[in-house]
Amino acid sequence: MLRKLMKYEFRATSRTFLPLYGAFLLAALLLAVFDQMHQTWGNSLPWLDAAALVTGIAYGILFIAVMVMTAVVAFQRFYRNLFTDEGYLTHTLPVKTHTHVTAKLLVSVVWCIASIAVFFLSVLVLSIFNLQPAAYGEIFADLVKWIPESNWESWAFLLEIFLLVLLYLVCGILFVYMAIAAGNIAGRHKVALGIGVFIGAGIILQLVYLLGITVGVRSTFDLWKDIPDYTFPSWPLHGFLLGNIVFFLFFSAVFYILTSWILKRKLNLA
Amino acid sequence: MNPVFECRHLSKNFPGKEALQDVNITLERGRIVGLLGPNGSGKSTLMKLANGLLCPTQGGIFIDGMAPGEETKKIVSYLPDKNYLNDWMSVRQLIRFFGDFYEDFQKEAAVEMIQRLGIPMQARLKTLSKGTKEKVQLILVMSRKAKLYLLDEPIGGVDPAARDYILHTIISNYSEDATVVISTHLISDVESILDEAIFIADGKILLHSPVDELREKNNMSVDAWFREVFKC
Amino acid sequence: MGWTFQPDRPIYSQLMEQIKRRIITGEYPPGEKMPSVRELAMEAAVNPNTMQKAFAQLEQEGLLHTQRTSGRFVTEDRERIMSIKEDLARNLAMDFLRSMQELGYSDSQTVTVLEAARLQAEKDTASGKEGV
Repeated sequence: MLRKLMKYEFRATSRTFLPLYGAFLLAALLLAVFDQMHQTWGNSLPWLDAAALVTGIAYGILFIAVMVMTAVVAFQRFYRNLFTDEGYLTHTLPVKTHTHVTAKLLVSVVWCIASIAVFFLSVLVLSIFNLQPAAYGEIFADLVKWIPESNWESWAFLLEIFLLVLLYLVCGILFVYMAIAAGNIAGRHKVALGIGVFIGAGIILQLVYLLGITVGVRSTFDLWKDIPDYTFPSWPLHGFLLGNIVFFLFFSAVFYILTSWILKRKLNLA
Repeated sequence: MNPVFECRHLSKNFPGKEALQDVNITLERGRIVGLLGPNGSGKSTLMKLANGLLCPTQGGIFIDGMAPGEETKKIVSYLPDKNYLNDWMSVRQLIRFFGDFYEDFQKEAAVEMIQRLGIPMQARLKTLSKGTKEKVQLILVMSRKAKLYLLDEPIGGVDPAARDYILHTIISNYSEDATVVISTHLISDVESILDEAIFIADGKILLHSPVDELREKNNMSVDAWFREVFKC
Repeated sequence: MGWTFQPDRPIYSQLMEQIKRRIITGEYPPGEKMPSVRELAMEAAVNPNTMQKAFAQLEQEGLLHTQRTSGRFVTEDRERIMSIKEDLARNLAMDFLRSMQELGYSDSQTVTVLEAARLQAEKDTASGKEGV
């Protein structure tokens, strides 16, 4: 069921994203082309100036658009699909409520990652005429050299940072989901309640985080003295990262459970 | 065997309104039941509760003995009183969607009914007229082999020919282990296909009786009796 | 002949009457297999349960009988059919007399009106034939 839900989620959302990504990359390409032309023939064809400027602006706008749409679509889908007329279809599907949350979450995460990938791709496209394979080759060679020289700790750090970024993303999305769901419990003034929950829970979250950091650093204070020497294994750093991971994992679970519970027990579809 | 639909002391309150008050209903299988009442009497609220789209304030509602949830949604087929399908999907895509999620969906039957009406399979829902859209929604809902069909105002705002088609579809779909609940305020149109009538007003059940009994006792149609009961 | 229903009487008894009519006129001849409950319900646009009730009543009155796996059949008892026909005719006649009484006609005046109407009908059919 989850797979089916995700299939239809992707189908619905790619109608927005694929054209957007396409336009964005096209703008990048055009910009690169005009810029290159401008450099070669700029003096004889003055309109190239304007063309480069216009496509530059278009690229900038689309850059922001991709960022904004990724966020908007993630949350708008959640709201529309579960709390408006579309909910009549969604909620009558023979699916457990929490599966709906999972499906939307996973699809949103995928689009976030896709958007980031498209950003990098656009940078590559922008430099398409100035590619210096040699430079890339050097970087690649350095990387390859580094692998056998590195030890488990670097890999551990990489993994921890990767997990942390992912969990941060997941937690953030679930946080907004929960605020949206909580807001809908209200008969009237749903938006006000939603924002209230958002701010309130946000404050609680920050306080707990601060508390965690303070406690964590205090209790391991001795270890932190060694940081300037940068000795391996750097347990405090690991501790910090792992602490963060646990924090975001815990609250992700909390928000997930809360959102699912609200959807199951407190739904009031107009 | 559990009754296919049961409400026990069911109440539902909204801020500023008591939509349903102490509702008790039991429905057996193989019946076509009319949920008859004026606008705002609680008919839609009752159906939404049966589908888990609302939660009771008090009391319980049970489908085949179970509270609304994943398992009941497998055996309940619901036609809401609004356009709830994705406008941008085509008829073919919607049929595939229903087939994907509902095991009891009969694809061939749905396709046959759509084609017999001359509706092109690749047409996007938003390009169809209101009446055609409603027929498509009805066909999708009735093409499931469910145990309980909940139809919220299926014939309101539809021309007489379409109305006949809808009623005909409901009869031809009849099965002894399924029950159809039709909520409407257009009683004279559906009377002849009903087994039982439930009168509801202001969130309270006034009457639940077999239709023929009502006619025999009162020497008038259910429609006429309804007007008597709800005279302003 | 379509199926029409009065709103103030139970449908199943009206169904019974209309099925009886069809048996008397020979639309459902003696010994013939009846259409299934569902088929007839769809044709008449009524609830299959109601049609089932009508069938069951007719069976009780001996107009239909069930052969276990093959379905329902019209009775072959022509005398019974004839007596039902006569009952129906008599009821029609009584209703007519009553209606005429309400208009103020005595029974013998009603017979005169009826005879005049019969002659008129004969003339109309004859002239109709001439026209052809």
